[in-house]
Amino acid sequence: MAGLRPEGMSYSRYTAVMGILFAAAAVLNVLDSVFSAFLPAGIRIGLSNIVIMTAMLSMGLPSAFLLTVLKVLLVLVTRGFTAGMMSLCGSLAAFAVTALLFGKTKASYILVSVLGAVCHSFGQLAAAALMMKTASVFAYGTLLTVSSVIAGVCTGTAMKIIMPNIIRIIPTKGKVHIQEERYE
Amino acid sequence: MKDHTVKNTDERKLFRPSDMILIVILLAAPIIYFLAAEASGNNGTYAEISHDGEIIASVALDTDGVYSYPSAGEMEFTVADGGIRVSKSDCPDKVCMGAGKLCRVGDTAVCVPNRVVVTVHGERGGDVDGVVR
Repeated sequence: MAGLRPEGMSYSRYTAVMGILFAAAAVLNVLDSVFSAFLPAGIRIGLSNIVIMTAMLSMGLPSAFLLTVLKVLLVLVTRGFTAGMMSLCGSLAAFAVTALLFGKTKASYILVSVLGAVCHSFGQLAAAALMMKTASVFAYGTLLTVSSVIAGVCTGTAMKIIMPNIIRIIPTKGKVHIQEERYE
Repeated sequence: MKDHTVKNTDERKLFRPSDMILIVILLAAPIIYFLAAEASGNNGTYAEISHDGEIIASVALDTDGVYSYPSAGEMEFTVADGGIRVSKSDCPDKVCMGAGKLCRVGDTAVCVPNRVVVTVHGERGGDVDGVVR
């Protein structure tokens, strides 16, 4: 698993952190279902994507991809084949765009998050269109674009708040702005 | 494989003023599109219900009643007040029912788990059975 771990992070710490991240993603995924009951049908905030995006910045692309695959499998098991396929296409589209923006640009959290959310929605619609053999599903595109922008602003803001705390658990090489806390 | 380095500083901004341009476009475009469709949309005359890409039924919107079809499983379609809506479905997310009443041309409700699409159409093109000269 050498290629997955961030430099200087021990194998056991990596395993623990990844376990915590996936657990957080799983819980947020359930919480998302709870919230979606109060939202118009078909709209989810995508809370678990906060974890994926955070992992992308703190643990690197391969680890974030691993978490994405695990999340899709979780959706497949808990919410069925249809939701799983839509999650797969949406997640891959969002992953590609998010990875590109985080890796190659200085785009803000909110911008990356909004574009990721919009791509996630259209990836899902593309999956639905393939399964239904009709493009008429894109009629939902208008509503989903608006909700994606709002959801993206929420998840982007959450990310900015969480990032400093995630950076704490990553080994500290190079320049670090966050002071290590000592408990004695 | 070599271990890779990740940044352990957070220099990325939460928001940049230029982001507003994209956000406004992404919010305004669908809203304008939706309003334009509402304003210019004609009331439909019939709805087509399709399963797996094949049309299974064509229902006139003035024939009130509750319809169900074997290939659409447990789904029920209610026609009333010049519109059609999915009134019952066994799918988990009920997105199809959330679409509400469909009455304008182009209005669509989709049930992905059941592979069912309901679309409202305008004038019935194939209504003419034949032309005798």
